[in-house]
Amino acid sequence: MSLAIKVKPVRLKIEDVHISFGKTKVLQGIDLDIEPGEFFAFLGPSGSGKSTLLRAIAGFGPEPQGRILIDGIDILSLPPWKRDVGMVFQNYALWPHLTVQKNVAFGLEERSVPKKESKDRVLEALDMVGLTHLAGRHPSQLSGGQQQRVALARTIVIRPRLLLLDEPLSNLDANLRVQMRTDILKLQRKLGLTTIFVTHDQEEANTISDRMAVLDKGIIQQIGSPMELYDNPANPFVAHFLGTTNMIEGEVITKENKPVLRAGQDVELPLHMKVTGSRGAIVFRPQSVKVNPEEQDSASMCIRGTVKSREFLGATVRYGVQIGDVTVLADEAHQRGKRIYDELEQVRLVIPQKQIIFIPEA
Amino acid sequence: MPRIRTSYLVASSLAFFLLVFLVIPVGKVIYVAFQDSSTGALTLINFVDFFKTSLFRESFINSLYVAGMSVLFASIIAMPLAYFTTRFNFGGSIIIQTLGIVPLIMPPFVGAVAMQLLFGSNGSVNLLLDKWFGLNIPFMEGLNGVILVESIHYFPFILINLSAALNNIDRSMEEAAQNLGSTGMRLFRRIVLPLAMPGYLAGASLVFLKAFDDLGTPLLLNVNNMLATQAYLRISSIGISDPMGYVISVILVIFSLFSLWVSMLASRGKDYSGGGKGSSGLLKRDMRGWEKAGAYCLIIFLLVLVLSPHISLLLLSFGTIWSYSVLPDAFTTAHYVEVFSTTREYITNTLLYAGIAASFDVAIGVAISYVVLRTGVIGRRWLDYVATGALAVPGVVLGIGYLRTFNDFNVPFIGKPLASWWVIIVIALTIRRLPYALRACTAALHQVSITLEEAAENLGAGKTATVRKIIVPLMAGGIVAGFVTSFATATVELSATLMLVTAESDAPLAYGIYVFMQSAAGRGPGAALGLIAVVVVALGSYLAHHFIERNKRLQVNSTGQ
Repeated sequence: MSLAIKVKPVRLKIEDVHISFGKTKVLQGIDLDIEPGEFFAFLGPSGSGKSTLLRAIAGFGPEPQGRILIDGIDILSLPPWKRDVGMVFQNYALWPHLTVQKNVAFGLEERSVPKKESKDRVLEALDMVGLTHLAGRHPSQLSGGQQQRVALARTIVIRPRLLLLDEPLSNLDANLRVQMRTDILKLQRKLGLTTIFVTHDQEEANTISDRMAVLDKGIIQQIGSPMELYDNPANPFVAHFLGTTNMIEGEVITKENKPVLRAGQDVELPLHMKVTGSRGAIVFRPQSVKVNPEEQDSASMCIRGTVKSREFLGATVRYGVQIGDVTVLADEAHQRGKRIYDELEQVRLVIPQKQIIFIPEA
Repeated sequence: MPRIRTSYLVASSLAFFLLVFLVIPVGKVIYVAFQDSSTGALTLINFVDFFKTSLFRESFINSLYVAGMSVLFASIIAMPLAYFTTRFNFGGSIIIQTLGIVPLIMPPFVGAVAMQLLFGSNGSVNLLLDKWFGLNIPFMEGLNGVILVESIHYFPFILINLSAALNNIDRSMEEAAQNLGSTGMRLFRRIVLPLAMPGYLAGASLVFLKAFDDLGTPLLLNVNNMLATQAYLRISSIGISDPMGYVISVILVIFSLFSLWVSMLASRGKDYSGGGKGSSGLLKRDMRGWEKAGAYCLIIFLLVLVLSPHISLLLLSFGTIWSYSVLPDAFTTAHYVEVFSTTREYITNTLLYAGIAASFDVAIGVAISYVVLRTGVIGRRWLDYVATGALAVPGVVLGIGYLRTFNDFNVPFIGKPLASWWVIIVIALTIRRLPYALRACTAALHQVSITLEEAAENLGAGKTATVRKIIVPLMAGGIVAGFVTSFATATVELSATLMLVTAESDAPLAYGIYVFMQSAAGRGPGAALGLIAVVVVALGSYLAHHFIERNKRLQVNSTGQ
């Protein structure tokens, strides 16, 4: 039996999980349903509880309240060594006194897998991560990327029901990170393993995951595919955490029977979408903002302002435009010879209505 | 380039000092061991003679046996203690930490005789055992006594190193094993034990070294068939031309080097501490009720055992007559009065010698660490190696080497050989304690960022001004700690001193304890002197600790880490 032979992927359900460290509540009311074979990311800033949640699935850390189910069976009563959920640790946790080969064989020995089979499976796992030639080395003789691969091989060799990755790329340099995330995704697709990936890097989560949960302050802020969350953030936190965004907060008033957002003294913006509540914010991405466009359709929002700052980012030029009390960022795609606006220049910003979303105040 | 010339001048004076007072005497000892005593030709005959003599064979085996058994018993004491503190959330951890320091502030020979009164065949414990159970256990008979005393005093080396190793194991090491299905004893055997092994070995080899080299304890317990005692007795009774003393010295040095090598290999080559980000230390849990009760029973038993040399010394120093009874007949301060009135020079000599030696040690320590870390002098690492190598030279060997080397060297104006002038004792102490001071200074200088010096130079300070105004003040904590450590340990140094004291008026405290303890009548005053020594060392250790901690805080503040 080969590792690559797909075992039936499992479904992971998390129901109303609460975790506290002493009196500090780290996670509250976590509900998740992760599909069989899905590549799922926990995304959040440090201290958001994402690692704690991952460790709870593996059985580490304080005992959670609630239920964690694999294919409908609650695993919370099982100790870590009976759960069969493979975890790759952030610092890899390779045992320095064992060779690569022995590190990878460890879990199989614990499962009393016959010698012959164990040997084959170790070789196969090392082959999958491209490290068969380093089997005799000790971890200290490997580069960071190689250590990462050994940690991965050590975990998949036991054919775990779930694969948990705790910020696996955070200790690698930028180029290697891009390479590794592609490799991890390939491996996951090949094995068909239900996989959870913890990261604080939104680009990582975007590129690698089928769906993700954004966490902050121990609460799931939003769940969905990367693009869904980017386009339709449920709240200001998600909007800000997933890429640069413009957010204009204000009071919703009615003028001539139409809703208008009043943000500060002189700024009044007509709202063309469904609006609830008396306060809220409109959110739009800098790349949706056009500066002094030649044409504009009637379904666009138009604002006048003063250029306050200009940053050349290469592919784009980012203008900070002052409108009343707020600054709006506008990213203009850069091309040779394109007109550049200077500070204090008056400009007209145009934002297509369908690029703007309204978030009512919670 | 005057700067380069200065650093070479400093380096060569240091090299000269080490050469004359460490390399040549030890080299001389080794050379004589391989020299035919009548013809002067190089030969192995002395070693053949050594192993042909049954007394020496026996001494050799006894020394190995004592060192090995001391390691065994020290491990038995240290292991549960290390396990309790690192595996459980245990309130008794503070007691255990104390347990790990208290024995070190008293060298084993000081309490050896007092221990006999407590554990000997007619001692308090056996009197009670006999009364209650009709038992008599030979705790202190012959080699048993040496083993008991050495293991009680030196187990902290294992405790400290093993606890540090266990605490350094990254928690994810254990979690990864659990995640892959391992638990309980299997996990302990396959992951925790191998990871903690280097720490254990580092400690165990130090215990071996200390027990193997120790001269004072077997001498005071009247166990003469061991290597160090034989070396001393041959030289002091037959004379410095007898080759056997030198042969034994070579064997002592070989074993010292070997155990130091094991210790360094264990602690250096395998730094298993985690990569920083993970939380370190094993998973801790609370003890269950019966576990806690058991742990406290064991700890209190060990506490009493470990404190027994101190307790018996205290009783002896305040007791009138203590013989064939559980406790002394009555208590008195007469012994202290006697010590202070008649033999005050022991105390003053000690303060003088240890003070000078420790001052030299830090001066040399600062100089060597600076030359090694901050200059480009060729061969500078050798200064460090040689000075640290003093650790591998047992006191007896250094003493014999000085006698042999400096006996024919008459000090100008004094009119007697350097080997019998009191200054040689100070030099011996300086060399013996130099490694401690050097380590403290090197550690301190390591912490001073080179950019701090560069900043001073950039603003116009010359080398000398930089050293004086920036480096030394920043190293101050380390320097003081090195001074106090050297001072405290020099106070109770016996083995080299014993070889070098020629007049009682020149003798230091440790020698006085030894002389007093020889006779039954002198035990009281001897114990009083011992207690004074313990107080000096304890105070010194406390101060050293205080300065190290303060220096750490200072460093943290100044570098903003």
